[in-house]
Amino acid sequence: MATDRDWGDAFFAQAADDLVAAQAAYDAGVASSFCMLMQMVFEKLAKAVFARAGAPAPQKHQVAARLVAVLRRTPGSAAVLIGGARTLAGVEELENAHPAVVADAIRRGVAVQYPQLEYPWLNAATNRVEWSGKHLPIARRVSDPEDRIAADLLRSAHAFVKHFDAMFP
Amino acid sequence: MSDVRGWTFSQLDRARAQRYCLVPNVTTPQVLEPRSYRQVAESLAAAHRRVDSGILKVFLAVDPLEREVRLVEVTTEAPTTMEVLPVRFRPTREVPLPSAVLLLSPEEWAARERREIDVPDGWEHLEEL
Repeated sequence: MATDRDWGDAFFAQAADDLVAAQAAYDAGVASSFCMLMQMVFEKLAKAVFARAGAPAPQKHQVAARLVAVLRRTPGSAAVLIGGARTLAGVEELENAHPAVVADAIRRGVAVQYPQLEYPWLNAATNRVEWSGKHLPIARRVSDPEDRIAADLLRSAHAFVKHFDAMFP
Repeated sequence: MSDVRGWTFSQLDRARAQRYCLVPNVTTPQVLEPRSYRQVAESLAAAHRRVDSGILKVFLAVDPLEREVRLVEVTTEAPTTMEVLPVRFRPTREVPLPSAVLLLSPEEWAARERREIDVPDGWEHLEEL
C-alpha cells in the first residue's frame, strides 16, 4: 500500500521536473507558461511537505501560500530558505490565478471572471476574449526587469527544491 | 580584434549600448533621449528599491563592455542558501539594456565578505548604487 512518504517523494520529484520546465520557459521568454509552471512547482512542493509530515496531500490548489505563510511565522523554521513577503505575495498571486480557483470564486459569487493562468477567458466588461500571455498581470510583471518578481520566485523555488530533503526529511 | 568594417568589438558594443540607452522625453514621451549605462543601472536599482523594502544594499557589477546591467542586491527578501543564482531579463522600453539581478540575503553578503561564497565570474567589480 502506498504510504504518505511515497506520495511526498512523488510530489517532490514532479515539482523538481516542473521547475526545470519553468526555468526553460523563462529563459525562452514565455512568461505566461513560466507562471503556469511556477504555480505547479509551488503547489506540488507544498503537497510534498504535507505528505512528508504524514498528512494527506490537500486537494486544493491554494496550498503553497498557506504553507509558506506558516513557515514564515515559525521562528527557526525552514522559512529562511524560502524567501520573504514578496515571494509569498507572488505565490499567492499565482495560486489565485489558477483556473480552478477562479472558477470556484465565480461559483461562490465572490468574484466575476478575472485573469487566469492557462486558459483564455471572456472579459465581460469589453466582451473580448483575453489570454494570460497578454492580459495576466503577473505574467506581464515577470517580463518587467523593474519589477523583479521573476528573480524572487526562481530564487525561492530553486532553494526550496535543492534543500527540500534537509528541510523536510 | 575587429570586424570587416574595422570596428573593434568593444567599439561596436559601446555603439549598440548607446543606441539602446534611450528613455522617453519628459514632455514628449514619444521622443527618446540618450541615457548612460550607469543611469540605466541607477534607474533599475531605484525601481527595485520601490518594490522591495527589504533591500539593504545595491551594487552594480560593472560590465566593462556595458552590454548588460548587472545588479547585486542584498535584501532580507532573499533566502539564505549560500548559492548564487543570477536571473536575467530582456530589454524593455524602460530598461533598454539586457539586465540581470543577483539576490543575496544579508547572511550571504557577510559570507561573501568572508570570501566563503563569491559572485559569478565577471561580476567581481562592484560599485555601490
